[in-house]
Amino acid sequence: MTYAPKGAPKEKLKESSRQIANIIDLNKCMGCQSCTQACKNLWTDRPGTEHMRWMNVTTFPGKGYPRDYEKMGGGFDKDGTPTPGALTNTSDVGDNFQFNHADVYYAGKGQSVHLKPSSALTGDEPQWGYNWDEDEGGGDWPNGYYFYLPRKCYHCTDAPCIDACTHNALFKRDQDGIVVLDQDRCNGDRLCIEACPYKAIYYNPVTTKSEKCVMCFPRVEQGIAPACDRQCPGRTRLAGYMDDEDSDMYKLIVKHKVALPLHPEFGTEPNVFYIPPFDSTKAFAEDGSITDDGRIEISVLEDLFGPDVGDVVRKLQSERKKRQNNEPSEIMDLLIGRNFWDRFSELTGDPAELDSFSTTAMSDGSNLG
Amino acid sequence: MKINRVNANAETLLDPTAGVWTGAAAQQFAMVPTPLNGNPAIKAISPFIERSTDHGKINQLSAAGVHNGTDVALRLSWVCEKNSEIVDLDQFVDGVAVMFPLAVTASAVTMGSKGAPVNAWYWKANTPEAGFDVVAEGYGTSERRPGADTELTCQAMHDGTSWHVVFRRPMDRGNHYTQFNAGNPHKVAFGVWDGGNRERSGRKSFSGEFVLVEVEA
Repeated sequence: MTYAPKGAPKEKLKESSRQIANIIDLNKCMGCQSCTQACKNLWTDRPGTEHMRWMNVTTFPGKGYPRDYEKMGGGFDKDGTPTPGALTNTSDVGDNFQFNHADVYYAGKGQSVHLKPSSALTGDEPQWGYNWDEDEGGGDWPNGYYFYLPRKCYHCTDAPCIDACTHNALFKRDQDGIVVLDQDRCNGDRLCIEACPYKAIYYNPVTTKSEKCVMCFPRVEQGIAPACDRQCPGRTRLAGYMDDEDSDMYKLIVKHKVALPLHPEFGTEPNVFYIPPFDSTKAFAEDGSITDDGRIEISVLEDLFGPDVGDVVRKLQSERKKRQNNEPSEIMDLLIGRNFWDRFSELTGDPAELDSFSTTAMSDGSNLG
Repeated sequence: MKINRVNANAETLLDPTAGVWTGAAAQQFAMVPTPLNGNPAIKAISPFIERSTDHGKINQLSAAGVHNGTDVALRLSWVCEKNSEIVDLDQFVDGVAVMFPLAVTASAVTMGSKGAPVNAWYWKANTPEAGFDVVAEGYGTSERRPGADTELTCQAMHDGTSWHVVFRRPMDRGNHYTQFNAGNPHKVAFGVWDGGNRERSGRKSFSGEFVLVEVEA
């Protein structure tokens, strides 16, 4: 279902007839933040949402966004037992830097005062912020490496946020499995944030309620891909429904099994999948010669994508080799995505033709189900 | 507990420092952590909060009541550091609530049940003058109504060591709300949240099952 009464069983809230999903190809993401901007402009330009990036891209290895989210707990353990985690603070979620624009631009001090940020919370020089560790990466010289890791709400099949909320404010929409947070029911208790292992829910101190990615459901309802997917200039994104066996996304996830969830050990069955980096820069040997090995250890990728990632990487390398030898490879064709529209299956509508929509859907639930 | 009849206007009743409270007999209530851990009814509404173990920091609450025949007021005091603002995103504020049965069989421990609702007055330190009127028929079913709908008004002060919160409401607000009839016995229970201990929702301390309160004729 969907919009169940308060006190209704959690299983009811997690039911959906269909499930929307995404693939993000980490080999193609260049960290341009177009997805972040698309989301920010569309959804989090209201008072109290300044710090929120429902869609975000950070450098891996790195602390991620929110900062150290992987260490904050949440989700379920191996036995399916809920494991409440920590809450994010303003600094963790990137702050809301203020700048001395008045001094620099309007006070005649342009030659002596430089533009500098200050924390919205403390007024002090920021000690952390969104993408603070951009491009720092990891690995030992001369074999340093990094890649970009775009993240958003994973609209999990077994969403712990739904379990956590005592008022059933969170639920999956029947028609697409998008997890939404009813603003009328939310009491701002933030149990959902403690429960989410990806820390993809954010507290709005102005409304005193929590908010999250809505997978652009007003667009999805009209056959238009979410803004983050649509705006990606690198064609890293695929979107569609998990029951659409003809979709490129389905083929990569189910038929070829080369797209994997992030941190499957969190036990939430996420619905955003990743094509792991499979062709990292070749590593130097100790004598300075170039080896055939990539710089990213498989164990590093296993920590992110689980035990199957080694097989996936080898499969992708093998498929790429086929194309280099002019042999056919459906997987490589799907990943290249020559036709812009093929990546979006049913969601190829034009956002310029989007009917106006009302965000009352977020507040009273009346047209959510 | 007893709600004394006093000769004072409504404005005086609302003032936590007013002299009427000096004469009112305050009763001490032992507060205990709500039974979340291992509680199947709690697990059903949130298996995450069911695992909460370090809540219920406030262990004593002082309650006094007065009425003037038209308005009734309750003054609740407890020792607590002041947490009245959500400055950072991981902060919570102090709160207190007083609960009444709306049906003879309603239980305070379960926050009522289907067909046997409870009514509560709820105050949060970040909205110190706006109380909420809450109705619930069991865990997870509470619905907040703006206090203004029932003419529920609050006034609070923190004296450096303790909160003193006064709830005031007309004694008669119709059948859907708690009605106070002078000379008749009523029932009451209390809950308190320590914001500094991340207490909110079911993470709180409470006074247990309803106790009798006498409303002086």
